[in-house]
Amino acid sequence: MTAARATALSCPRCGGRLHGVASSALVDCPSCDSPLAVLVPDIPVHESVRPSLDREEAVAATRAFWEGRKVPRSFLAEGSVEEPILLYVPFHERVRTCSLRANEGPAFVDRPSLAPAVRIPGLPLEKLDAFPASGAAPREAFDAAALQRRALVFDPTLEAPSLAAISGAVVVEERAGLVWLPVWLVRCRHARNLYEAALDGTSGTVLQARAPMERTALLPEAIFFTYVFAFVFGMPLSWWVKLVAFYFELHWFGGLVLTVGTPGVVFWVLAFAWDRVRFRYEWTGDRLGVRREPVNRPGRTLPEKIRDGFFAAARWINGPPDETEKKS
Amino acid sequence: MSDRPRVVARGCPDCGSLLLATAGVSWMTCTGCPLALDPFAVPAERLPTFHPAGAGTDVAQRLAFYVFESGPPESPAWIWIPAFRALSTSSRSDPGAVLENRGYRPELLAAPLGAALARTPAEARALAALRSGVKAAEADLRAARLVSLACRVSMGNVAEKVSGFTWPFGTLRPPVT
Repeated sequence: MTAARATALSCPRCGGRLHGVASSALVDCPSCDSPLAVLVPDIPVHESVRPSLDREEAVAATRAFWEGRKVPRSFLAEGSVEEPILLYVPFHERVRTCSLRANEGPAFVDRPSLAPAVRIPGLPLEKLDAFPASGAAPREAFDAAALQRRALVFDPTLEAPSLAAISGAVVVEERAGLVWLPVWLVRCRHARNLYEAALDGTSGTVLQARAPMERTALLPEAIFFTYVFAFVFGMPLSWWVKLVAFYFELHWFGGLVLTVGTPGVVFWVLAFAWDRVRFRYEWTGDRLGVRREPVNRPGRTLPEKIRDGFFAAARWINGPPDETEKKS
Repeated sequence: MSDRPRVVARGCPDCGSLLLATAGVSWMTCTGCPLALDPFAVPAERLPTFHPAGAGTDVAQRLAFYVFESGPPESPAWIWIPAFRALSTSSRSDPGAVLENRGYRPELLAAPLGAALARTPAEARALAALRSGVKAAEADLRAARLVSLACRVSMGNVAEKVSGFTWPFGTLRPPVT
């Protein structure tokens, strides 16, 4: 990144100093309030986008996101929501005007690219739809000191990614800049846990959010598995005998295998069902949808290890896959 | 122009009205008189600005175009180059090309442009030459001027009435608000 020059800029009307202006910008003189234009050649333009949502709207957007989901009623209730935090996150913005030579004749196109200039753990900035966000509201000259009074402002720490060459195109002109986009962090305490939602500050789109899951959400599955369990273990012995006889009618060796295998499979299915129900779950969501995620679940549980063991054994019995299988 | 930082007042040297500008682009347009200028240049370069006659001057949202003339002086062709940036839109299908293909040549009325510029006249001239298929130095482009057309923002889109072009809101630079 090109470093800002240490040049003292002053208002041409009153001579007042312009503090915090490090790149080309449209500013008002802090002394005489005259509208000014600053041109700093060779330095990317630093701008920020004003959020379209205020605090209340950010909380309302979070509530709207979880509406209709099975979340506890007290979640996001008045009093449990902490003061929303506004973040300003930098993005590298480049607009390249490329000339295209094609059969239809010469043409040009403005190719934009926006990439996060910072990495914030737990905040998926790549999910932010940066093009509409960067053009959704009037831009302001980036003034870190002024923004820091009402928001957390992040410094760019990542270099601008190198842009791939466009085949058949020549870059006629390129404009580079840094644009700080607003992101709201809405936090809610529920049952001694902290749940966060990150929202695009210009559109209210949820980038990532977590919420507790209502216990009754697992009730249909639990009831279903309980009935399966009761059915399997409540089956009269005569039914099992009939089933075994049916197996042996099909094939004597196959019948033997099925007789031994059926209880094993049934137990494994039940263990797998129990494995699904026994963990506490949370909702995680983004603009693509909402998913259910278990809490403190190990990478692989015992039923999964057993299942994987069976698959490994089957592969071992089958032998190594040939080239065509590998390709498929 | 020197490459040291420069600061200018955004006031029109003729009428004193506010100049509309885009950060990083040296050319600005006056909100009070039909003028676009580069106040960073010494002496300041100027271009006249126009509206199509009869289109009304009270429209809040406008899109600006550089208009060049090329070809024989008695019947020149108008080349329309957007002074804004419509991201990811090819110039073959942008409103400038549509206006050019339609031969849109309205009667012009000198008026404040009502929009900031995302390109300088030099850049627009280079793009006009590119569209004409000749090198910028060889291009016979005359009568550079700025013309703005009314547009409407609704349902998340910006629509330009004459060419019938529509862009998603947020893909235009500077943003139309």
